[in-house]
Amino acid sequence: MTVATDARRGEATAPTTGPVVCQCRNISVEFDSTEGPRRILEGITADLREGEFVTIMGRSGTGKTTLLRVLDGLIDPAPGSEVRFWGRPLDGPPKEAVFVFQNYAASLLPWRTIEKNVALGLEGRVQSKDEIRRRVADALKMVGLAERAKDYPWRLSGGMQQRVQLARGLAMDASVLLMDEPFGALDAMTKSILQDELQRVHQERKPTVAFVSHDIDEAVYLSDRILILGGSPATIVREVRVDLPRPRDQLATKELPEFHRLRRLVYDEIVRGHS
Amino acid sequence: MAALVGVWEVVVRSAAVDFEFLPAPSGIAEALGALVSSGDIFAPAVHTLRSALVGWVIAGLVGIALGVWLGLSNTAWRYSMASVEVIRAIPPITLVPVSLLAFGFSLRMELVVIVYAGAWTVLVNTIDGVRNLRPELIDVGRMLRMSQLARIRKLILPSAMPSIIVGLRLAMSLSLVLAVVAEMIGNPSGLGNALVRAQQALQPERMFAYFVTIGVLGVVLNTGLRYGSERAFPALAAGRGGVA
Repeated sequence: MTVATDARRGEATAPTTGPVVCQCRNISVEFDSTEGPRRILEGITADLREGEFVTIMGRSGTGKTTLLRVLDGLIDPAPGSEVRFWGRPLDGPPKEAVFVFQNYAASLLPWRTIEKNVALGLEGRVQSKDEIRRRVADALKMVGLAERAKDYPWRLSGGMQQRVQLARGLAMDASVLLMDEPFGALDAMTKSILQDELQRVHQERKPTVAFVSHDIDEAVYLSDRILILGGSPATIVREVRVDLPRPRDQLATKELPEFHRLRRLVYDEIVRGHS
Repeated sequence: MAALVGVWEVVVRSAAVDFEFLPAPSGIAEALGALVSSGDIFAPAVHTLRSALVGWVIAGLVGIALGVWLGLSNTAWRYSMASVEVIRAIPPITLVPVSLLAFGFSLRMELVVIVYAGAWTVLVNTIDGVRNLRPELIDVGRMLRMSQLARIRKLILPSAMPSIIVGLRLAMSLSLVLAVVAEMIGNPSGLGNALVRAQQALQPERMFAYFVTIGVLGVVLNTGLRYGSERAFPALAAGRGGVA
């Protein structure tokens, strides 16, 4: 049974369980352009609850990545916006969050081996070399790259490189994963495999995930909740709750009538436009 | 290469074309052999080699240090880049007579020219490497909340390494060339000087023998540098930047 709330034009209604990890209040973003200042996002307000998997969707250019970068403190929103993690206002990228970039090849250090790439996030924070080695090994095992630890990134396929980024976040024991279309550049087969790996990690470790995607199937398959951005400047035009049973299966879940209903709902909202 | 040498030998020996002072390769080989067995080759060769290397090392250190500073500091860069572009356009070889005037016939004169030329090359390449860190890696550094020092050590410098090494290799070739030129014109020692003296004594075989030696030195230095950089930074040799 699914409830798709129609919170139009502004707020995404908070789900009912769990502590709030990330609070966004009235987030607006303005960029300078040749025609003067341009508002990309306007008044985005949402809560992310602990352990939730939230996907942010919308047409190309609506500002999904921008919103994600605001959440990680990589972009400064306009005055009046507020982002809080566990009640603390943002002061640069939060320690507990890890951003997984879309361009995996460019986000890995080519002069470091896989295991040293994964260790990068720990080097400033964990003092003991043994501890670092242990966490790196665990993270690599969790994403299935244990035997490639000593390889260099250029030797790995795209899917594997993306897994290395994921492992970097896991090694850091990040409780918040901000993922910017991480599987967008991968082939369909690899995509499915990685979706399930992410799902598995999410079941085991229960991080809070904010996921940007263009793929409606992917969004419905992975998420607890989908926030749809629309308009220019963009706001949250719809929030869709996804109550499909977990763990989800690439074949069984996608055959459920509920899956199809949700797909249609999201598709209509994104493609038809916003009221 | 062997074919060229062969043709050269035949042309000169058969007097098909009359080059008054172009010796046959066999004559050059003979002269080279004589120089080696008499030991006369070693003193000038060592001198040239030492000048080139010492000059190169100083040029490298100065170039990298200045390059990293100018690359990282926006204000310093903004104020100096115009001057840098103007001064580097001056061919270093023109500095030889200037240096001669300032320092006389000495080793110092030679080194000044070498360091000047080499440092510019390394400097420009280092600045380029330091300033061109990939935006994705800039993001990674920020996302991981890396300190400025950590960013320099772990992201900026390794990323700049290929450019820096290019600068160092160019500087190496320049160092050898300028060492020889400086010796030809100013400093009475080394291979350049020996070459000119053989020329003035109308001994073309000896002259070419020195010429060949300089070439060999160049190959040795370059190969050594390439091998050294591949050993020191294996990740760079392994073809960075591609997705399998």
